[in-house]
Amino acid sequence: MALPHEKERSDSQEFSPVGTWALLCLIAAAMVAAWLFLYFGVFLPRGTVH
Amino acid sequence: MTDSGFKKLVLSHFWVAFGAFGVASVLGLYQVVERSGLIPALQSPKVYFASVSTHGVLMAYVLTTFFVMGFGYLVAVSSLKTPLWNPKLAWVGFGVSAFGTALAAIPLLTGRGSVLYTFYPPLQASALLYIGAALLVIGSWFWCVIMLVMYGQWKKGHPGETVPLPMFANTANAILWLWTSAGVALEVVFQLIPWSLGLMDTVDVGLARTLFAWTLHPIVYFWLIPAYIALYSFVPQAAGGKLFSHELGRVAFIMLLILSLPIGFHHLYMDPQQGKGFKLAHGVGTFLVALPTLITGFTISASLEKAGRQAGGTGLFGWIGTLPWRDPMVLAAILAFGMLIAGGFGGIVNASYAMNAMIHNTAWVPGHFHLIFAGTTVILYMAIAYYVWPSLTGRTLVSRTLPVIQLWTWFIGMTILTTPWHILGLLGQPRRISSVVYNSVLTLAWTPYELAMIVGGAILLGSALLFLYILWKSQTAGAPEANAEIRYAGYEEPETPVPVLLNDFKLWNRIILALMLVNFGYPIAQFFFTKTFGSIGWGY
Repeated sequence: MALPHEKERSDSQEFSPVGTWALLCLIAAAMVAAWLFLYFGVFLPRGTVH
Repeated sequence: MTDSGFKKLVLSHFWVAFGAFGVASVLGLYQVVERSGLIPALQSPKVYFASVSTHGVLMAYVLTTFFVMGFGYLVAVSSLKTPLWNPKLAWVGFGVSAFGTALAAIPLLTGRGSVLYTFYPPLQASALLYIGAALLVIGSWFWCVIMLVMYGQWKKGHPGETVPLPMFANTANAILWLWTSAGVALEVVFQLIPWSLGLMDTVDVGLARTLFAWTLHPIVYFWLIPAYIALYSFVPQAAGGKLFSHELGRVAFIMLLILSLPIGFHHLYMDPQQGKGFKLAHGVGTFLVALPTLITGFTISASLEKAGRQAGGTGLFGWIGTLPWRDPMVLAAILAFGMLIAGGFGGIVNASYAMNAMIHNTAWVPGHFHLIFAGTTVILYMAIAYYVWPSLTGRTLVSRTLPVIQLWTWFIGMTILTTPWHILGLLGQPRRISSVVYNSVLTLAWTPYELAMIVGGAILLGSALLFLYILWKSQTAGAPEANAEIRYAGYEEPETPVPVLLNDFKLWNRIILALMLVNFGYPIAQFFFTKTFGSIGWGY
């Protein structure tokens, strides 16, 4: 008989959080896009300090 | 829950915390109105900076420290299922911290402590502010000792068993706070207090800022860990599910402990007293400390996904809609993640070595830390209060709807407040300024955003007052609930022990010591073997 903790672990392994992976990928993509926009679209066009 | 004396101890901590929060919220609205220049009669830099300093100290030190202590006692007793060790010592700690707070209030409210909550010299306050702040911190060290003793006693009495996750995180926070507060304690005791008492003519500003940087970043995680405890221990339960992985939680708390400490120089990117090599090392560490937050985001989201699917959610994102959005704990977690993602993005920009120059010392920075602290952290403090209130007071919450409204208004107000704040930073508005008395194209462009911030501030104040009303009304007029207990998420004591490294802190403390020596050793030592110049005070 599986011990409680092993059962919990087994349940977790059987469950694949695909929605969470998809959500995190979307958030990561949005953050990268926003960072690139700020760097190339806002920061670099301001040029050097005068 | 245990005896009424223990509940009184925890409630006393919570009410000091939330009382400070209420006062600070009123000041917050005054500040956005003053800064906008909308009401000329309110314009007063002297009052403004006294208010900002009081707001910062109340929110960042009083609310947090008292909340962390009260919640820490509650977590220790309820998760270990053991009485509080040495309640008298806990009351002494409470008294020392409360006395320190009262002492610090005198200069703050009389305009003799307007140095903001960062205490950066050469701005000089009355010695009472520094002594009061030191006592507040010393009082919290009593809490650290009690947490460490309870953790040690439990381990001794349960050889080979796994420390419950909430207490493991709680202990990590006590250790983190001892490491964290040492930096500012050294600054206050050896520099600011003697200097403000006139025992020293000048202060070494570079050393002071370096010591404060030691404290300034990990303190954020000292504030945040109770919120993370709620995410791991309460949210899955409230959503109707179980925690996806206990081990990932332990890894996240250990990483927070180790990685949050040796990275404070991202606050000093523009400071000349530290070399760029050390700044880069701290910068790399700053990006690494995002990892435990990513782990937390994944673990909690997976826990919610499992609960949502059990409730009938299908498809890639259908589980989100089936979550119990009307449960304060679940709602607060979702809203907190929303603000954490936005605030985390701002933090990545802050930490980016080059781009930091664009937003350094601008309004972007308070916009960022309000999202992370007042948004993510405080909204979970509120949800924790709602969650534990019935077991502390023996009474149910007076309404199931009002907490939901309160949390939504806090989220909406914070969004309306911080979005313009970030934009103002990009438009070049410096932080730490009172209203401007000149009109130029530059400053006129700020006006619409400042007006929007007033709307955000007003909504936040309304939400804060509603929060206090719900707690007070529930405590005094809620329906009796005799058997309310604090329930932890799917917490079955593991029969198979977790690895020793995920159940103990000895090795991690040694690693912290090594990292601190590498990242702070030379940067601090240099002030003692190179010639530096002190500054006289710029005081009240």
